[in-house]
Amino acid sequence: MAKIALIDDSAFARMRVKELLDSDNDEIVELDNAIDGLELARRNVLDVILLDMVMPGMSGLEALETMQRENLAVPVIVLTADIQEETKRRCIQLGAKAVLNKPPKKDELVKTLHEILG
Amino acid sequence: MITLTPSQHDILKEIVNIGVGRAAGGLNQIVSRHIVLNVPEVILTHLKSLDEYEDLYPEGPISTVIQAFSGQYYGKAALAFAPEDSDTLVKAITGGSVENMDMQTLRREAISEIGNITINSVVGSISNLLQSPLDFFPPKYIEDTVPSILEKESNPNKGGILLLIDVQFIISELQISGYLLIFFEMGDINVLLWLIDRQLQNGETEGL
Repeated sequence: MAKIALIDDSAFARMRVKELLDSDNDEIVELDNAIDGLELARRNVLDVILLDMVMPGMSGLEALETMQRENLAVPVIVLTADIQEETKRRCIQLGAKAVLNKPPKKDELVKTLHEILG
Repeated sequence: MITLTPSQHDILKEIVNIGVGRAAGGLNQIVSRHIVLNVPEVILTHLKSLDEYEDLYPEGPISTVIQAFSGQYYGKAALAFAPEDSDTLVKAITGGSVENMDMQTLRREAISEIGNITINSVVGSISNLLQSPLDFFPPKYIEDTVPSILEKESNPNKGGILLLIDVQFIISELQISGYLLIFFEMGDINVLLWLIDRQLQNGETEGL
């Protein structure tokens, strides 16, 4: 059973992703901000983080920067509406394992999660 | 009066076309229905002249998602739906109810996310093709009239310029149309046009 943090300030976006994952085997922790997500990452209780980019308070990029600085090893999949190549490059540079555009395709999301979770 | 050269108009319209096509792909995944696109009409006008184009946007209050972006130039983009269209759209996506959310919250959440995806697709395409990265700010949901929104979100007295992209996302089975508005101040639109001219001069238009 994997513990997945789903970090997005939009309740609608979280609902859509949960529907796509449709998993009884995994525990999905919904968070509406990156600061709470970082706290869980520091406690090392997560197997993977699904991270939105544009959020009030702390952005996804800032969260990735913090994780890199603090050597937090939880793998991150970025889910973003931002289609810019530069954004994708920065996310990967900051340690994201994958960058998927919103709305994510179910097969692509599940495949990426399986690759990361093994 | 602000005018685009034929080349600027052509390249802008084509970039918008690409972005709208991407946005339609995203919307199609969310609503599970075919999205019919019209050819976008691209109009550049002073905000003060908005009255001349009032037949191009819905009359009365609209459900709008506004998202600011910043890089070499700053601007704001808005995706707008008539309230009855936004309700129809939200019901089509969710079946009309979601646990722990009333209709008003659901409408705000769903339209915000649809706006986020659509605006990022169009403005992100502009960024990619002009090779000028932008940062996006969180989307904001507003219910108001188009003139009032533009007045509050821009500054017509400081040379506010509206790039009115009359693109209709027609969700055929639902009879819903959306409108995209992008607005800048004069200095910012000049940077955008300079970037377009640079692309034209460099002949870097193969991807268009």
